[in-house]
Amino acid sequence: MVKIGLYLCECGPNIAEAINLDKIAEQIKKDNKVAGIEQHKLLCSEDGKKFLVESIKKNEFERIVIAACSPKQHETTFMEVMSSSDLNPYMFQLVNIREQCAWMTPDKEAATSKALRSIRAAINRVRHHDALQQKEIDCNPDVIVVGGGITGIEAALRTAQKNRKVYLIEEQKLGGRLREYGLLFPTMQPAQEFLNKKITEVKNTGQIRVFENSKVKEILGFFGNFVATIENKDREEIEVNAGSVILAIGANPFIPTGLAKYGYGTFDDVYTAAEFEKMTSSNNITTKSGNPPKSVAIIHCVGRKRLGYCSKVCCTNSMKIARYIKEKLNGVKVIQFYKNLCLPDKKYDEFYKKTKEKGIEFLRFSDIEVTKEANQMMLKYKQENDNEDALPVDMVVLSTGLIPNPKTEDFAQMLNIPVDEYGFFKEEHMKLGPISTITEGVFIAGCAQGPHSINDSMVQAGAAAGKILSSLVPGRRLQLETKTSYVSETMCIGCGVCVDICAYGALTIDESKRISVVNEVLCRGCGNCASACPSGAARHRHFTTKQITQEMIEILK
Amino acid sequence: MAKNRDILVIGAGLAGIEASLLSAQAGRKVYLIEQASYFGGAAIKSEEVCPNMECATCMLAPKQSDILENKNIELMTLSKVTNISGESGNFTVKIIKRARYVSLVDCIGCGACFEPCPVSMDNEFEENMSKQKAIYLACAGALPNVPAIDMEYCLRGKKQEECTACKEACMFDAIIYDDKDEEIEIRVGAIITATGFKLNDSKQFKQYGYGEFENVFNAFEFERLRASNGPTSGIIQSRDGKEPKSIGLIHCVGRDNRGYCSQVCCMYLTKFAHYALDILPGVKVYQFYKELSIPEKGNQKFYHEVKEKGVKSIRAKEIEIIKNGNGAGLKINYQNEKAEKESVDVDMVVLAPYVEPFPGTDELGKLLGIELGNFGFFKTAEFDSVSTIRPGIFVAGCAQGPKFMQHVTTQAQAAAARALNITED
Amino acid sequence: MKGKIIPLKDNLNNTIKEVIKSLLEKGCFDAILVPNRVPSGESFTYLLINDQDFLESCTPLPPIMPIQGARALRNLTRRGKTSLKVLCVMRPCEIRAAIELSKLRQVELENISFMSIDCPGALVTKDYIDKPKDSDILYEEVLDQWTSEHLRPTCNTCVNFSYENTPSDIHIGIIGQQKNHILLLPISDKGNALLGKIDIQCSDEISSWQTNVKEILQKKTDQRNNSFSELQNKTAGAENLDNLFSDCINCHNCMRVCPICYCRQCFFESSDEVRIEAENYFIKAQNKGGIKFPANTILFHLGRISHMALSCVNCGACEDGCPMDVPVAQIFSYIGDTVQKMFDYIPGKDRNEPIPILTYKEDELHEYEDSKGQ
Repeated sequence: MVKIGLYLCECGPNIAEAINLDKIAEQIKKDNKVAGIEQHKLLCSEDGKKFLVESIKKNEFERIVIAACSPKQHETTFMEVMSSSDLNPYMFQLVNIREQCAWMTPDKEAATSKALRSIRAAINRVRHHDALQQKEIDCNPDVIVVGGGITGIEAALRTAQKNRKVYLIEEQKLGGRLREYGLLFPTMQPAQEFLNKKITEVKNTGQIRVFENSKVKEILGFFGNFVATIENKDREEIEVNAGSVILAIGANPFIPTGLAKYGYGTFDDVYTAAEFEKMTSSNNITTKSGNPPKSVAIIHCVGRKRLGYCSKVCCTNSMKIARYIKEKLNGVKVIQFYKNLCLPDKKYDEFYKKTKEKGIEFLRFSDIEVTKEANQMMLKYKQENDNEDALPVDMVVLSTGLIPNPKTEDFAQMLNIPVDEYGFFKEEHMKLGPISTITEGVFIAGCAQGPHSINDSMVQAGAAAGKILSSLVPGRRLQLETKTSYVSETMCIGCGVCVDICAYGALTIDESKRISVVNEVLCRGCGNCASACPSGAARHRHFTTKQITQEMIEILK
Repeated sequence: MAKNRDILVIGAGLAGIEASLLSAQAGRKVYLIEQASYFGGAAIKSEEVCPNMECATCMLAPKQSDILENKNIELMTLSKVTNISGESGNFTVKIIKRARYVSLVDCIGCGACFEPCPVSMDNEFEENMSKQKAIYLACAGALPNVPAIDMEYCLRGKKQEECTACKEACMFDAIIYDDKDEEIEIRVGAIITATGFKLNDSKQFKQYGYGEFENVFNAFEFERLRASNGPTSGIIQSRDGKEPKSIGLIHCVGRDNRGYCSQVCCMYLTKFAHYALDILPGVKVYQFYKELSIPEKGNQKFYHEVKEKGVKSIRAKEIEIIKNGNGAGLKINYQNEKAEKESVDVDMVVLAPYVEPFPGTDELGKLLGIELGNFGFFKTAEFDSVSTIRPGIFVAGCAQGPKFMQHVTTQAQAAAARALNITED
Repeated sequence: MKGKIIPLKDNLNNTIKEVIKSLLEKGCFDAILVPNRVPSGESFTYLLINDQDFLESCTPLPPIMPIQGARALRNLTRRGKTSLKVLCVMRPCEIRAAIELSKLRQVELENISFMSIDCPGALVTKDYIDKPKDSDILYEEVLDQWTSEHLRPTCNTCVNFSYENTPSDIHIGIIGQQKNHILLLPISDKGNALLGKIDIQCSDEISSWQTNVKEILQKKTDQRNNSFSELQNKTAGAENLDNLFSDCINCHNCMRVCPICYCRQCFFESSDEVRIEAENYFIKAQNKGGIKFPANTILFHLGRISHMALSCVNCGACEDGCPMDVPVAQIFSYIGDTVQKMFDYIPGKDRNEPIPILTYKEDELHEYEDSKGQ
């Protein structure tokens, strides 16, 4: 019979005073299922750990049950003790008789009885444990960056290292939307100068291979081992291998075609901010009639209600545009129509103040309509105090928000990552994993994740780099989760319930066999598949039906 | 000279934790130093974080245990940097580790020492809204789960009395009365400073009555009132223990004087409205804002959802809080969007003061040899908000300026990337 | 909605066969999956045919259902879709079972079309095999009454006997306004196109047929409610359950004939999962004062209920296959109905509606809380 050792921890008075450990030892001895029982004052202490290793070796125990505190506290501690005792760390079960028994009730008898049941259950369970082995795979440290805008460029620069190549793939020319920019806020520096410096840096970094005018056809694989098929500018297909993927495909400006009251598409000289930006980079601001405008209105928050979110950058961007106009055209009147000013950076209030000082007017409105009367554009608006007024203007700039790149959905499907309710890539966790996705090794940065300023986009690119530099170290092998799921080939009916339920994309249907298979690199051992599987084919290696039933039999006895 | 690959992280809040975990995952030795006796920073003070209303401590706990379990990370609480020399790739840092008087090795965190301690003092973590003993844990669940003794208040320190109450109560011999402050010297290749923020003490803005009227709370005080491990176990109540029937939430406290928007206040006040409506049946909630700033996807939806539950949002100017009659009630006078004078009577007012650098940021800036910006936050390069002027020293989190948690995380990750990169061979 | 009323030719089955024949002639299908009388004449089976001559021996609406049609279709497409276009002529419950199976990817619906028929129910197979000729006459009577003590009990309480909750393509209404007519109804766009191909213009009013359906539905609903209220008492508590299943001999026939039951190997037949040590049986026996062998009979049925409750289409195959007359289909029908209502789900009704196991709504938890009186 397999030799099971039981260790009872007193945890000082915490367990010893609340539970009758002698009685437990006596009962377990009578059950005659363990080869030895030992008691110790504090097993997690240095002294306790030493005692454990010596005792396990001396008694030649093969499997261990420790009755002590919560696994959250000391499971890893004791698993290390197992290894030091030359036993497989999974041949071990920790019973929580402190938080779940001793601290549950002042009734010593009740606590003792529950502890005894739990210990018996663990003894029954541990007999059916398997010696799980830590698995490792080779991994590729290289990086695929999709999108060559400022975010993609920054991501490439931050990940390129001596032992790490980067493939930077852009559908057009490097620079993305920034190529259409005149100035950057809040510094008001020329955008092209800034961009060109970055592009030169990319070209000077030997480790970055740039694919311009190229498309990503397909990305297959998983963390540590992705393969991308790229169609380059000569329409040749090229395959590259990498360990991780950064999606920096950006966002598009919202086009307010459906919103009639702004006159977009109806009247000449109504532009979106993005269209206006293009005009500034050609350095020529005129109305359709060919004359420079004498008055320009900039309307904020266009389409915000429809989009359902604030795009964060438009207020400041509008001020930048206003200042540009004011600087270029002598005597021009520039008015900002806004609802709420969103200035979320320590430098923006100052930027706003300076903008006002330049003579740019700010007017808060609750409703607005662009109309035309006898060849003159008129803004009819209502203020918060319900006063209504009208203002003739020569040009209207609509400050619209950002919407997801239409390619978002394609990449989301290709890499098994969800999109959020607005159509942007959905991050793994809003606060703690803002650039990670549920697919390990796939990161999102910049406006592909939601509207961001250039600065925030670049920080996100850096963050993605941080995740990659820390997890894919050149020369290191990737350690996989040990407690994973697997699918029994003989039991699986191929219904695909597990595929739909797996949050990590670890399960797929093997079409040739019509059954589902687990990718052990992606599986994190949550056990969702095992509990959802209608035919009992998906199983968890450390929570087998046998282990659980054997445990339950004792608990319910 | 070969580069030192180790990394020092100053401040163990959300940013410091994230930066440390990434650096350690890359195989680097990380020194994570924290001035308080616990770690987790401001993030663990919240009950829930918006807009998803997730439990904040539950969210942070797995990251915290990763820190405690990671063999590459040496967490030093009650510690401070005293000197830095050298350059990128080879810094020498002196750190003073203040005595805890309780052994981190022997203590199991059973808490048997609290009860016998005869000293009662204000609990700073709880914004002085509750009492603690001279041997204390910041709050239930604080990590590491080992108390510290405040020798300024302990009878042994203060009055030189021979009190041994805690030592007698400890079954593990974990109390070390002769514990000493210790100065250590470490060598690292890169430094990430993530010292965080504090809320401005809004007493200077007399019109809000903070410090004068007992039922004017600041944001952290309200947050602790709602915290289930806080002084009232999560019950929102005024100072006299009564359930407030109406609450006024004041945005932008001190923003105009200070000169920047603190970014997060609109959202957390909306969260406060959610807290109140959630657990106080029939409560009236008023939000007084100047400019509503609700960037980040998901926030606008949250704001409107909460508003629809019955929050009255008022754009207001010239806000003034006065006493309403003889009781503890308050009156909020303000000018509405139509420039009319109005007022609302409330039982409780919660202020959102501006976010400012954590005390000592300037001192640390000097030690690190890095510049501070206009408002006292660490100054970073344009379009590179993790790099300071000194190579090898990076900034993460609210030490660089106010931000949402997600931006704290990304900044920490970006700072880790830079630190890892420059310490590569 | 409009349909086409066509006169009966000889009898009901032949008329339906005429329609099928014209569909085959026009090349709408490569094959038909249709019930067929076995040569001995005592029973029926499904036949996959593409030869019109074989159609002669077919019985689109047989008096019994010894093989559930969804099982037949599952056999056909288990390893992937058919490349040939197939028309399946089935009872509504068979089609609904097939839809359920398609959601579990046990049936591939591509290239499959369905023709459903107003179903009066099926006779008990054992009775039929004893006296096929008498039973055929009996079934004619059933077609008059739409309920009968000779029908499977669940057929008498079936509320989905017409097209309402069945996503078929062409439905055949036989709850006649006039005895000598049948009604052709295009249910899907595909069905509409198919009828178009055989030059059938659907322009006839169907209100009188609808009135008849409603009438019968009311009758069956009343019977269903009566049956359920009886079952409510019979299934309450462990002791009652024990009684209900007391005749079970653990043959697992119910599992084998069930169209949905999907496990490749039943947990209760697997080699090592259930078998527990003798001493554990002793403990159980000690606690209860005795233990029945083979053990786990009720557990088997409970296990099957937990698997099937959401997908059970009330076809009655399990009870029909039971050698001991355990009212297993009635129990499943009652429990299935209760559970399906909880999830607002009618199995097989909608091809695109995911099975409840794959949906998660936060409200579900609140509903549970509410039911616990919080």
